[in-house]
Amino acid sequence: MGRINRRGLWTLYLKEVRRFLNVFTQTLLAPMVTTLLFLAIFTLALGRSVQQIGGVSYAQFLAPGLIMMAMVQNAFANTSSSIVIAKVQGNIVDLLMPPLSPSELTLGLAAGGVTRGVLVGLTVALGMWIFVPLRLHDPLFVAFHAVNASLMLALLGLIGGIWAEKFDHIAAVTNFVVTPLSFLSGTFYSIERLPESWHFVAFLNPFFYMIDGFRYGFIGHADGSLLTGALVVLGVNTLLWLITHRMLATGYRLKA
Amino acid sequence: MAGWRPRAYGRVNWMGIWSHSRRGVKAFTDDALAYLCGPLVTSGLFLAVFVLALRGDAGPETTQALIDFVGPGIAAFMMIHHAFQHSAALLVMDKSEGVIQDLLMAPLSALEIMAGYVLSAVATALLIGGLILLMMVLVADLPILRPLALLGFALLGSVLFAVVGTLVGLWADKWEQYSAAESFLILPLGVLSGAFFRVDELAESWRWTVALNPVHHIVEGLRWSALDGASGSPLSAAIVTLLLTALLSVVAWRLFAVGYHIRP
Repeated sequence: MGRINRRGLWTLYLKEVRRFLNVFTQTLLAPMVTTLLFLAIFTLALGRSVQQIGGVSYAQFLAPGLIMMAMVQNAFANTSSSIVIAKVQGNIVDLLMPPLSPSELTLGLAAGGVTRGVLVGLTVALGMWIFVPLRLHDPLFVAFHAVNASLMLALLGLIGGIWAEKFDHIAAVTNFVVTPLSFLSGTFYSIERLPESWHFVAFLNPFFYMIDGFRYGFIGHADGSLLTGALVVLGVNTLLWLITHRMLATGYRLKA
Repeated sequence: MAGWRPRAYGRVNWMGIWSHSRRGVKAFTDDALAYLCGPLVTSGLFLAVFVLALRGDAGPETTQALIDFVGPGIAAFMMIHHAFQHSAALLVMDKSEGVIQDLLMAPLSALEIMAGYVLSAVATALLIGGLILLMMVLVADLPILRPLALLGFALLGSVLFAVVGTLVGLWADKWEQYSAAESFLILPLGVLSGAFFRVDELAESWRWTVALNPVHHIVEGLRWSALDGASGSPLSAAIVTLLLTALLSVVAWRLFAVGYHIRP
């Protein structure tokens, strides 16, 4: 097999991708519709009062944030549901028995989550483009943050999935961690709108940097420092990768 | 076995309906953290995000007006959404796990089976809606002028969507179909109803869609009950919702009676 089990890795990745492509209405189209509904609510409720943010219209400010929100929620859903379903149904052994190292497991599963996140991002962006004129200011930032944000949530999904014992645990993580973080990280408003004393909270939140950097790629305006943002995102991803690797290597809540 | 005779029920098997709906409520209370706190947190987040997005561009009066407007809208949306989710998901689960056979075997008529699903959905939806409204009363200026009308509209709205939930639950044999109905029917109806924005913000050519949307009438009725000087006519809202609920209930009852997707 060589140093890397290429065929095993590729098979695992394909399994992860086919798992969500089989139900693409639920995994790609539904997020697009939901995100467009968010766009409708916020532009209709606030469009008249909120004129300009960062030099663009409110809809143009909002669109990248919403795309990012859809990406991260779906990347998280992909890996977490994959692990929890496998644990509940008992076919987790099919993941643990094959000659796949912890690194290969982490890579294959996380890559599946990233693929779902990025595909959802593309679908949502296409849908939004009909209603909001989206211009690319810096495609490099868009790509960098799309991949890294999806990776961050895919890894969080793995950690959550390994920790959870039933679906309700994952629902709790989604309700009380992922949704609040993605809502309160500047998706819907510029951080300048927070009271001064709350700014530091935003700057501690990795979600803020990925939304901010991703949005910079579209509108060319960022609230925080772009370099700090990129470093924070890379740092958090490295840390999460190591934690996931450790969990898979020791078999935490996976092996008896 | 002399003297044996089947247990007698009156015209309505009250005990059966009670046990059936209590089972649904128990499924909810067993996971109250997810079912109750989830919607509460989400509602709070929605409100926070609306206020933060508006801050700075508008004076405190505009912001307060937005809170007063959106607050009851969020409560109504969450209540309706839960009523649908509860009855539809319970029915799909019962079908996939075979529990539905136990219900069909029990001395329950089609109407009683349906009532059990609807009752537990309505009870839990009213609980969620009520708690969210309570949370909104703390931050918004909601005088709740007509509490009885409020209860009436809340009841109508949750019954309507619990019945819609049973229709979807009967039709859906897979979870995929259930989530398709949720994403492509219930969420658009709920979101594009005017729960979160004023209808006059919509382009003229789109306003007719709102008039056809049952959620719009429920939200208007609830707003009229809670707020001073809300627009819309409560009587027509009540009549429209009542007629639609009656119509769909009859459809759902007949489908239960013929065993649509639940009997071989």
